[in-house]
Amino acid sequence: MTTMSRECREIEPDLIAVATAEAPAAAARRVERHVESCASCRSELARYQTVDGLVTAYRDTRAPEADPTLARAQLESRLADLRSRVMRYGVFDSPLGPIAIGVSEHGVSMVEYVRQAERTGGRLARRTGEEAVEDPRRTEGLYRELADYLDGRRTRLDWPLDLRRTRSDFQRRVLEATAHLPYGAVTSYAGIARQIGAPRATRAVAQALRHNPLPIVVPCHRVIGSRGDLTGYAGTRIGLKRDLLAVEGVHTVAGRGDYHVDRRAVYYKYLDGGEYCLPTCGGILEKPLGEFTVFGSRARAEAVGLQPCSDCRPDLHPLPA
Amino acid sequence: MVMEQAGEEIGRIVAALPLRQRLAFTLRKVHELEYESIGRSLDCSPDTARAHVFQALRKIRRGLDAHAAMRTESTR
Repeated sequence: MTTMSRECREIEPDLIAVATAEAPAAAARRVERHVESCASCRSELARYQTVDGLVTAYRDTRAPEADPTLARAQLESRLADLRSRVMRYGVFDSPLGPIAIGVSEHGVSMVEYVRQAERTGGRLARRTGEEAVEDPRRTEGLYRELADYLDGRRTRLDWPLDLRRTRSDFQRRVLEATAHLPYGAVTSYAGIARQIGAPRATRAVAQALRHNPLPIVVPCHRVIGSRGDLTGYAGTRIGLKRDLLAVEGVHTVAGRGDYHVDRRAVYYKYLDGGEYCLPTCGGILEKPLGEFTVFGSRARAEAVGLQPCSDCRPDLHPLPA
Repeated sequence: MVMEQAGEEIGRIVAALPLRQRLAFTLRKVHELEYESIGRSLDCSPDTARAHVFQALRKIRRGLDAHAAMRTESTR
């Protein structure tokens, strides 16, 4: 019997997950790196892949269930599965128009701008693939917090999120990175692409955010084009993006059919930096927006713990309000 | 190993698994249910349900290896 190294022992569950196509991207990368240099785990992986194929063949040739314990467990699992698909929702008026908020057993599963004609659940349910039950009382507390947020009285929505409607692991990573953008801060699609370690996937990031199931809560309005243009939001409702940014103190300038963030009127933080700078510091304006997170005000930059840059001293020479 | 033989052997190994591993494995690999649903019906977390399934796969792999080794031995 061969002795496995600690590293090999620890990676075995990930190895099985990769072989059965269940591994999240991070685990798959870990396994890929490990098997490059470990012949024994490479062969283990191949064996588990063979076993998975045999198990699939076994499933396909298997006789119908005769075991009553198993049949009951199967039924219970299916019921649990159905319960977890139920979404309770309410539609509320807001300064941005009617907004539907839906929650599942796992957390908030839907925030959506709805048109008056769509205020009943049928269409919402069809769109989300869940069973939608109108239950405004269940979501009223969330609505109150959202109303406070849209009014500028609240800067965080710490809601448990149900991201099961995400289309892919990539979209989930994009949404998670976007969810970490602080209040009153903006970055570009390229900036998010860099943050998730896929610097060439700018367009894919934009696509992923186009299908954001939880706008406002996952603040895709804080992600803009690399020239500072707002580009798009909720279809063609770019005005909503402008309004949401204005609530957070990020002001935009109207252009031809679009709005943009004036790069000379914001403070800059390098993606990995701990300081905020003036736009005139160290040739910042010549660099792509994707290298930064920008803030509409010093207060918002300092609220996330950033220090004023010791070279350009934005604390001593703030931008005109 | 011929598919049919492998299927029979997997059936034997699965039947000998401890109950919760057998249930978790069958619900996942045969009925393709989510770990979350399996966890609920087995009254455990989705991670534990996944651990049961992986443990079952480990045993199946070892069982199939042992079976293949035995067959090689007997045909010598």
